[in-house]
Amino acid sequence: MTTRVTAEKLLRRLTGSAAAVFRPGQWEAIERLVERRGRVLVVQRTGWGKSAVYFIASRLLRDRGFGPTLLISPLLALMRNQVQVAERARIIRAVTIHSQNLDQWDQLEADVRSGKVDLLLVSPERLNNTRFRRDVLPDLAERAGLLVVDEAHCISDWGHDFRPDYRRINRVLQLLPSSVPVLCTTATANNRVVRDIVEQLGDGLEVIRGPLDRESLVLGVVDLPEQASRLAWLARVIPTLPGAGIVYCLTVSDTERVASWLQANGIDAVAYSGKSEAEDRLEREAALLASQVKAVVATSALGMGFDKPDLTFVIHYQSPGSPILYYQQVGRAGRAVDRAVGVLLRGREDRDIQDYFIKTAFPPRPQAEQVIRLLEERAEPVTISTIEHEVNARRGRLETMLKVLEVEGAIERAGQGWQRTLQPWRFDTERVEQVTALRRAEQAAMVRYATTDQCRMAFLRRQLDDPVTAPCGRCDDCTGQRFDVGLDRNLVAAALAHLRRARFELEPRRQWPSGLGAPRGRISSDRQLRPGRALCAYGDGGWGELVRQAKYHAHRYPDVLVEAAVQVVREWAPEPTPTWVACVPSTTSPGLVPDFARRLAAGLGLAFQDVVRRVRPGRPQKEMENSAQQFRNVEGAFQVVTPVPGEPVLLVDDIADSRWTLTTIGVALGDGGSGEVFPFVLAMAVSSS
Amino acid sequence: MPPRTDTSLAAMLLAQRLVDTPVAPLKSSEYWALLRHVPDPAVLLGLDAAEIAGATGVESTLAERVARLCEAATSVAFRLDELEQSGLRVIASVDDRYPQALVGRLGRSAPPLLYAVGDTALLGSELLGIVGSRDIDAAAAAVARGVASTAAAHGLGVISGAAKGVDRLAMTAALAAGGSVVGVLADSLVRSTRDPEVRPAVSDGRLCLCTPYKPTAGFSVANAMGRNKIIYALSKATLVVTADAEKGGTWAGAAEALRQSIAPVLAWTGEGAGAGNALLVERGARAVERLAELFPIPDRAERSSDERPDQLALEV
Repeated sequence: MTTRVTAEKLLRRLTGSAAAVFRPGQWEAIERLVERRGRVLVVQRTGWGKSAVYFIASRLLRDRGFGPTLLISPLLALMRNQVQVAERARIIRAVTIHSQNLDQWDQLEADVRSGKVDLLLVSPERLNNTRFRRDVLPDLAERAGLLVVDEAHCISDWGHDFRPDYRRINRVLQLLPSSVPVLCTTATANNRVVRDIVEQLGDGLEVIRGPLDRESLVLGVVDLPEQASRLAWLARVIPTLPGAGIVYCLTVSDTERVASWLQANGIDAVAYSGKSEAEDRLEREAALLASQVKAVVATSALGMGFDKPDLTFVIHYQSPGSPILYYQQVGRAGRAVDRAVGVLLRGREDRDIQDYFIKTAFPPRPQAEQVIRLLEERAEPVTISTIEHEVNARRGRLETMLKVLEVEGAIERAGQGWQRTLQPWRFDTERVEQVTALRRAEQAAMVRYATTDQCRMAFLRRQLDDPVTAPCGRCDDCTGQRFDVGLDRNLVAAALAHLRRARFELEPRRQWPSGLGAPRGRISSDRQLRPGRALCAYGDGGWGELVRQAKYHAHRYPDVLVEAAVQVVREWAPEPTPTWVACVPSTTSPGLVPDFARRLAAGLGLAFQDVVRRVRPGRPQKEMENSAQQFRNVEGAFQVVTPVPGEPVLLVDDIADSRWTLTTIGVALGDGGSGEVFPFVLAMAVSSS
Repeated sequence: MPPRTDTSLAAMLLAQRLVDTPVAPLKSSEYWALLRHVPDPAVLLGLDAAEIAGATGVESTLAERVARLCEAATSVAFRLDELEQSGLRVIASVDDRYPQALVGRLGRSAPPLLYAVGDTALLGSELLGIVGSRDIDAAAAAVARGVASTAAAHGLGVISGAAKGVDRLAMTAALAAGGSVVGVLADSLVRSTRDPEVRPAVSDGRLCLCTPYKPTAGFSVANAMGRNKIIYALSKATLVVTADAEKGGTWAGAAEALRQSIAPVLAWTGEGAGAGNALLVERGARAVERLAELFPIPDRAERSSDERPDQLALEV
């Protein structure tokens, strides 16, 4: 029996269909891997059958005495489903390596040794885990036959979705002799990304590429700069669409605001982001898969490979920064239904958010160099909290930076800390500039997508270097049928009210920053602030835009903000009730906050007392990038003019960021004899919300 | 870093001890014997045992072992990447950076692989070996330091064993005098990279630490002996500052180097010399009583590998 006949039998078993035949490219890929132990890159849209290629190739290689396949995929949950299908069809026996079964790796190893395992499934993050790499992987991969890299576009710097964890895979591929068969798969790679992958894997790489059209998908664009209008549009349109779908947002807080708005309008919607608990995410994915919810409102965390064949709509509440990313997200709709819609709503804030992502994609050079110098100076490993005190970077960004420096080979983990490696390192300005320029070009292309009067699907396919780019005949440009709907003014007003109703709690700080010397440890509970409130998130679609304009253009907070603030404080009704109002002296425009606080006090019928003085100059807190630096910037900078009323007080500021200003003034007020201190601010800085 | 060739990766798979394999990696003697049959080990990749036996003429159990060793390619690639990320390099005998003097002087006991940190080009530079005991007096310490800094002044690198005593003093003095240094380690290469003295010298390109053993290996007497031979083999000549009489690692290393003519052995006979130094002179070492007698060190003819007797296999 020829290999092809055997392979086709396996395909029939896998699909459960006696009539199944290989799609163009599937057998070619299998043949190349099995008969010639070659290297193959498969670029095919999701649903094409990439997994059949590696399941069948794995079986054939195993039957020839090769070791188990190592399958690297960021999508373990999704993979597990596909793997179960292959297991049920008795094609392969697979093991997924995850944190829960890591403790049983002796057993896993024994199973691998005795040949009970045909496929090992592991995530790139797991591969990057030091303990896994040192203790587990060498034994499990001892005889690995085929290596499969899923979502291989992540390998490329030029991909829209480059991930540091993939850089290790990239280097490992270059350390593999050409005798090891390698399969890379992706659904989204343009020529540039393909070229990049070919460069990593050598000229012997065969590229198998198929058309990317999705015949069921109807694309459209609607320009709605105001968030309130977009919310109204969603509430109008989603109930008219059959089935279930995804609403994509750019930020986590937007997913929450949009989901709660849809819920308030009787639409069964849930929010989904990287910040959701893993359990909640799985639950929400499952609910969407089963069409138990109408819409999941998600960030790009609901990402690659989420596979619901009957998804009927993908709507973007804000525009992603790249046509390739957009194609990937909108392409989740309509895999197995006759008609699905993909609508891009463009907002005023899109560009700012995209700019933020582009600017923060790489660690700033001075900070990266500072980290390297710091580690070089210390003989012992340095913990992240020590680094945080020396380097002006936010904790989250610092963590990202350390990860990037780690995959670049500049630093490595040592116990609880980090140390410098012996590799030479320099900040790769050229690469940063090239990638940033590419991101700008993608951003511009995304604007062209939205403004083109030509076929939108053809536009996306051209961006992906799909050779076939005939007009789709379905999109709003092709048919002239737009997705605009008349927006009810009352609905828009309700949406604005919804945005403005969002309540933001200010959590008191409970610990002094560690490692700075005194003060240290827990802030004693009688000196802590009480829980506080913010009116909005800075720059958001509710009050945020107004706050921004007032701060920088009008230099006076308008009465409407005072009224809204009065209402929030009344609803909040802190206990024990504050009897007077104090405020933070501004750094840049001296009268701005006292003026607002005085009017707020009047609105609440309380006395205003201007008792806080700045005694040491500082820089604006927004220029400080992390909590330790912000604390240093305000420590000892304020004094309270005593005596102060021995009563509970409302402490007012305009923007809260690290909360160190409020915290240190709160302590000073308490030490000066006041009662409980309740903070209230107009806006929380975006970075802290 | 230039990408690894299949030849280099195949050589590594045959002899590596970075990851455990179900069969033992090739010993030096087996490795060099195999390479006599297949000068380019890349041809072994992807073959099964029968094909390997056919292509090389080696007996079937060895062919089976070779086939199994090559299967570890993926596992080795991950481990190798990790080491390279920390700044380690693995040099196979087929690589350009591999110092050919090792093959010329040690024949079939030359290590198939060297693990190194720092500038591996130093391995092929002109080097003066400086060795001696761990416990030494002030006079011997002064000799070790004086010779090392004078070597640096003559543009000669210093090679030593990185052990306590003479080795460390000589290396530190050579670095302080602006010279370059090769340290051949018997154990714990990975741990040595955390030595605060190491980083600045490595970033200056003036230090290379290498070992033929697993970079995480612990200390063993056998490894220390094998390490001594590499010091002699990479040196233009090696000066014994102090050696005990007929005992200890320094004595054994020098006696073996003399017996096998690995490299010229110089024995210090001035103040600070050990009890074994004069005995080494009796066995053929050149006596050196004053620093001035040492430089310049005369060139000597390299012996061809055909003349080499098969030596104690260096078990790496």
